[in-house]
Amino acid sequence: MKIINTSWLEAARLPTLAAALLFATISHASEDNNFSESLFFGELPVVLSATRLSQPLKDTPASITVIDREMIEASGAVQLVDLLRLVPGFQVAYYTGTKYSATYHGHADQYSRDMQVLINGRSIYDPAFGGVTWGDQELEIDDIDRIEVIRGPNAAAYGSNSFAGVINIISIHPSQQQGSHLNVVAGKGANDQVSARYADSVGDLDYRVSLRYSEDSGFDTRHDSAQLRRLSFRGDYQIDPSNALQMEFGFSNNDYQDGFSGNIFQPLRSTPQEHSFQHFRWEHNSGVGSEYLLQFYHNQQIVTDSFTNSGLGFSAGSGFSSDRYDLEFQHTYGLTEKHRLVWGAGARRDETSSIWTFGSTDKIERDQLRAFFNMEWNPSDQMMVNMGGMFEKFESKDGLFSPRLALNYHLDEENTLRLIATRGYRMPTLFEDNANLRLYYAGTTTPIPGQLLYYAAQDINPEIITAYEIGFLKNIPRYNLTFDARLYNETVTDIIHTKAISGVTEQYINSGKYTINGIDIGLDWKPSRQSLIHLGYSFAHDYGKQFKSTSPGYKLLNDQAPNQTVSLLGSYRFSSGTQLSGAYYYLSEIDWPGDGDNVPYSKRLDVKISQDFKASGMDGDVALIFQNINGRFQDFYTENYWNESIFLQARLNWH
Amino acid sequence: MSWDDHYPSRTQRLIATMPLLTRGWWYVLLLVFSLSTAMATHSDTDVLIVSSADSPVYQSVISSLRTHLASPCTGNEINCTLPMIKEAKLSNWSESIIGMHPNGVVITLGREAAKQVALSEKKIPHVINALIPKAAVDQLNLNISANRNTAIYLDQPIRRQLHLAAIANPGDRVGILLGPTTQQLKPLIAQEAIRLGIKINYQNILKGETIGPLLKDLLGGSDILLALPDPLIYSRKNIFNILLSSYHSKVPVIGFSATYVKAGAIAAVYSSPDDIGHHLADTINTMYQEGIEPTLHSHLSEHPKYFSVDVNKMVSRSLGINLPSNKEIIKILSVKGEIK
Repeated sequence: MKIINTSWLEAARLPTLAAALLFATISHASEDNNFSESLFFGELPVVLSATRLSQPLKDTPASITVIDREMIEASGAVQLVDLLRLVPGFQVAYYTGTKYSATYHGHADQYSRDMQVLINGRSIYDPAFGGVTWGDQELEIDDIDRIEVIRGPNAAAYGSNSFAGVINIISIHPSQQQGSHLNVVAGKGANDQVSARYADSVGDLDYRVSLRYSEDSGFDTRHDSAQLRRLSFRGDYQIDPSNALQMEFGFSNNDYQDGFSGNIFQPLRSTPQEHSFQHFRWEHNSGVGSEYLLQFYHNQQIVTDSFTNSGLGFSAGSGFSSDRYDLEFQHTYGLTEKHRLVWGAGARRDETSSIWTFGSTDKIERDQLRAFFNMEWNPSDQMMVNMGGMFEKFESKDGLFSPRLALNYHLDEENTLRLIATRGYRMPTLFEDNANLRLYYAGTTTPIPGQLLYYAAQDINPEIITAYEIGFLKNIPRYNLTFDARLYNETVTDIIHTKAISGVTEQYINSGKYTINGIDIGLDWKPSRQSLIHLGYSFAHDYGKQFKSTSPGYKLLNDQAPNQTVSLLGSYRFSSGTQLSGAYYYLSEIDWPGDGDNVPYSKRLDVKISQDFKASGMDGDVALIFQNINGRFQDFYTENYWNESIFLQARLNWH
Repeated sequence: MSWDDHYPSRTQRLIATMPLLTRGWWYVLLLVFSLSTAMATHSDTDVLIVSSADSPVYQSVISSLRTHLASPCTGNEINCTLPMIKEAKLSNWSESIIGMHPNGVVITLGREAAKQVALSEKKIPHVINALIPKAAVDQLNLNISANRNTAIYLDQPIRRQLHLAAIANPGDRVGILLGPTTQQLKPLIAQEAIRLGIKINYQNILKGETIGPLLKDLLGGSDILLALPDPLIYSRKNIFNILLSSYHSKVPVIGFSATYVKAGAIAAVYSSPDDIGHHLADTINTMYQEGIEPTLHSHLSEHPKYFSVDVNKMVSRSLGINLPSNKEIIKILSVKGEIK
């Protein structure tokens, strides 16, 4: 099913053209032809600042998987979220063919509430319902530099909701993209994307503007097509050699279809979504091992979703709007050769409103204040100790402290042993704290008595996770080989969930606990500049229970984490510019919580063949991408059937 | 040595770190020392230093030159003859300044000073152009061959730079971006690469070309990127692209200045104002010992004798590359990296 509406594109074109013209009229600084001593003594900005440098894996106080540009290219992913399948122990669910959820060892429904996701340091977690509206995020795959995924809680560095893991997406600096770029993807059925980018520099400002339009028909078996339109801007302005300002803006306006035929609470309907953000990031580098960072951002999500059932005479919905405003200050300081301190403080306001889910059009607000620190201590060449914690105070909640202690012991140059103990919290979402989802008389906002579906009657406490991990890292730089194993024990208590109280009503409570024990293995090997091999394997065993209702009482929480998750990626680039790559993903049976179903194991095989080409003033590549060539499998809902997909992709760059 | 060792000069820094009271005495000592130097000076063997601008870089060269000129006399101030040093700046430049030094040596610091002095119609027996890149000397067409001018270049000999790349290089393929200024170095680079047993990948950048795609190609086949000073390539406009693209390709960059290391190059070999001042002092001392007659004194223009090495520890650690200490690197380069 397709929705054709191009008015937005027309509207979006005008400001972009205006921006392009504005930048074009400012003349470029002329190149200095007089070669002088100033090239040697002139001041330069600190490009590789502490915030831009990655800590070497052997010293990181966490298990980290890095998905770099080469892996992104090899994967053949046309949706950003699919890249997370490469992370050991990660599951990606398509709860409709165009709406996605990603989680680390299960225990999440369509709203992956336990995952912190950041783009350039901006949390894209939705405060109202939790999780990330992946399709609405204004970031193109071609603009991603790398994705760093931290497995396990990391609240000490990233705050609450850095619970099961943290996904850190870092976009490419516009100076690396100068010129125009066009990416066209045509898929079997209606699965087409076109995106364009223009990047340039004006004086000390490097900037890019990216634009995308896509249509996706979703699963054959679902009413789930989508039409997405988005625009994003990133500007990096070097004020002087010590001060830099990064500005980002984005806007997306998307139409989704959703629902199940014959389901009165999930009827077939359209659910338009709008998303926008503004992000300012100021970095000051004093040049003596001391860096300051001050950032402010605002995200806004608007989901329009309501329906009327005239037959039964009621209206209901799950549409809402939410806003997150966040201000953060951070100072990184090398105290001595062996001590480095990162500390900072932040303030946040989350807001939401919805007549459908909160029973009122009033704004619900929640403020948070936080302070954090991490001390990196290098007592000897063999040892790296990271001690850190975050203190958070949420409005009308008790203060929380999330500590972390990590010890990295280098057995020798190549082998490192890692011991980590950490605790983290997941704050209830604004919905879990304020739910009032009810049915209204058809076409009105007058509640139908007794038709209350979800309700928050008491103060909900945060969920608590306590995690212990033993890690082993083998890194042989001369073979470009990295092997990482993480053996962990994670216990979640005070689970936030619903229990049935009477009739149709479910109430949010804290109860029960579950434990996940498992091992993740990651292997990355680049035998040559032309080839790469990536393997991710995860085994997880989970058990626990939570109180559901007076009868039958407790619900067992077993098998909500898949037993085994496997990802395998291989790629080879021939000297002719042809690249051949393949990806294989396996996920054992999983019982998706919430609305989700118990779905059997799945296997997915993707193959990508691409060819580079060059011409005068331009270059590009053409690729054929085959996804899921091994046939049908179910995802999240038993109604969601994956079929084979074929994409033809052409990317062109003009310099 | 770290990058901020050079501004201001070590002597000034030393004074700056002293308690106020001691500092006062130090100034008195310096004054006495300067007076004794001036008194011992032979009147017609003087040195005029012309700086391109009034900035700490030129001041550091001059102060280093003074310190090193005087050092052979330490302990023997009475019998020691030192040339008198006079300073001039382009900001209050006039031809008559040169006229006042008919028999002396004129040292120019920087491109502008070299250009201005070269334009002078007055006959100057000897000009030493210092703190100037070799390409600028060539561009200005300074009269080196006529034996009137000599130069102490600011850029390092190719061998020294390639050798540092070899020390820091985890593989054996060195990538080099060549621009209009560095293009001519290609045969020399090739010759030195054979000596060091390393492979060089070149990428030529023409004026007006975007470096992005060419840099990407080069990084794909290189283990390390050696930056050779070329204003078209290593401009402020390109620095983000060069350092970020290299870092993300896990290719370290060897810079050519202390500021490049601070910005994100893994290491650099360069001559600081202090090193240049030291070299100038050696040259002047030799000239005055041997007599200043220009025809007898055909000093060849040369790359700097003295050099410094900086390493960016944060970058090397992040890339997992272990580098020897700055002192050790200087030692290795001093043994094998003789001037060429």
